[in-house]
Amino acid sequence: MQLWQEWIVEAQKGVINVQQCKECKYIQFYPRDFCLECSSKKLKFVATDGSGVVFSYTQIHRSPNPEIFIVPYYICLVEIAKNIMIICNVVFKDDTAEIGREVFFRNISNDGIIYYSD
Amino acid sequence: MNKASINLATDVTPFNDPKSIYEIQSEAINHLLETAGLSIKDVDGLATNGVERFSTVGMSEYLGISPKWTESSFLGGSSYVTFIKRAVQAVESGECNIAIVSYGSNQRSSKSRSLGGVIEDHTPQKFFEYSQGILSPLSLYALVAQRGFHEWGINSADLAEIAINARKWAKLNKKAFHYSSENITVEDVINSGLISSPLHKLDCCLVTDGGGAVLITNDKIANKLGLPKIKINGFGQIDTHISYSQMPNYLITGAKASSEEALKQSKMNFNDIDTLQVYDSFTITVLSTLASIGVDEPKHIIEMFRDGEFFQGGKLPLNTSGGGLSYCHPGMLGLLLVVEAVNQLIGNLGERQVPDASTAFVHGTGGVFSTHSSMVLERVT
Repeated sequence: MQLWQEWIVEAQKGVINVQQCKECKYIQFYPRDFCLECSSKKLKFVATDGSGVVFSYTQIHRSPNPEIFIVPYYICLVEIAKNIMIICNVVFKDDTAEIGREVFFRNISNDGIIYYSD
Repeated sequence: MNKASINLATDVTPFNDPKSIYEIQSEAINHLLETAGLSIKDVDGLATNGVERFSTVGMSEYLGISPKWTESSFLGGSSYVTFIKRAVQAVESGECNIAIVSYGSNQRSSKSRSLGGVIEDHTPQKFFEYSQGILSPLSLYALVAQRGFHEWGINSADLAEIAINARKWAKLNKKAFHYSSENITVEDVINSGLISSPLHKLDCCLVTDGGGAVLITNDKIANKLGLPKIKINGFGQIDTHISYSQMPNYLITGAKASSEEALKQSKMNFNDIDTLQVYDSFTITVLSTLASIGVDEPKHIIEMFRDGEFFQGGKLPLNTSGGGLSYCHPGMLGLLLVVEAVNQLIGNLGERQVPDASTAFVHGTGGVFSTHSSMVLERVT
């Protein structure tokens, strides 16, 4: 299976992975066929605990696809490991986004939409 | 090695008269050649992209030429700043003698622009990012702006100053989309409606048709024809990422490295620069770029906008055409930044002419703060 597809299948099972080099321990995302730090090809998926911290957010008011995305909704850059960012949908309990808030992975839809919430 | 220079530049803003991409480019190119006293048959170098898959080939066929040198890299908005440098290098090396760098787009009249951006199914962006419902490239700039609010202590009213300044310039440029529009206020920007917070409609560039062309020749030809000569004193280029998740630093961009290289080569700093032409896809693009190239700290840059330092009579007249925000944004602005800089240095811009301008700094940005090309230009006699 292609690496990126593998990552998505893992997410569908409830696990958000990063990729770690077995030789130099460097952590990277998105998955690649070699280590960006030491060029080793020995890499493995390492599960995050599903949490992350909001690095920045934007609330979308004009939908790129109104059948799937109902405005307004929040898109966030979430830091899921040190200096590792993921871009995802975040549902905030009070509908107010905040930089620095801890959020948790909920699910990934059949369309590939990644949902976190606080 | 031959000596080469930029000689003439022109823009086409066919807002009320839709044309094909080929016609827009042809109009600009033929106007330049006529002004220079040259014929289309003299052109032996061409750089363009975004025309078709075989961009330079298709454009050459339309023009009836068979150039010896072509360039068509895709770097988004910064492509054309880079093309100018490559064209000068090609003329210097003798690969060609008379090069044209041209661009045209009819994205507004042909309704070819999509809010969600261009999606290619095989890319990592598609796998990890475009499925999320982002508006691309707008949402990345919005995420940078929101982080900027957090780290820099700025707000929407501060960013609005950048749109206000652009509109003031556009009202001095008869070819600008907003030439006849009213000046705008902070309230106008904030009340224009959020699209991807914190960016409002008036924080975003226009979507227009438009294009232009730049002529580059060797100095023997330029001297014979009595053309102006503008030299590239410094040039720097870098690309850093294309996926949102891979941006190495969300506030200080690749513009830092590209501008440092360009300024180092030119042995200049911003005290030596008479006008700045900096990519303005969004208000935040300008603030982040000015901070990254080292003009000042973000909060002080906003003060400089309020004090008129980036308008006529200020320290660093910026985007004197009205920029992508108020003049013209045909999908990629890079060429039009160079056109404005060149015409400022030639000195033919009427009301918006910066008096005695002899040096200009141009910065192109492409993608999602992905590609950066910086250039220092100087008029020589």
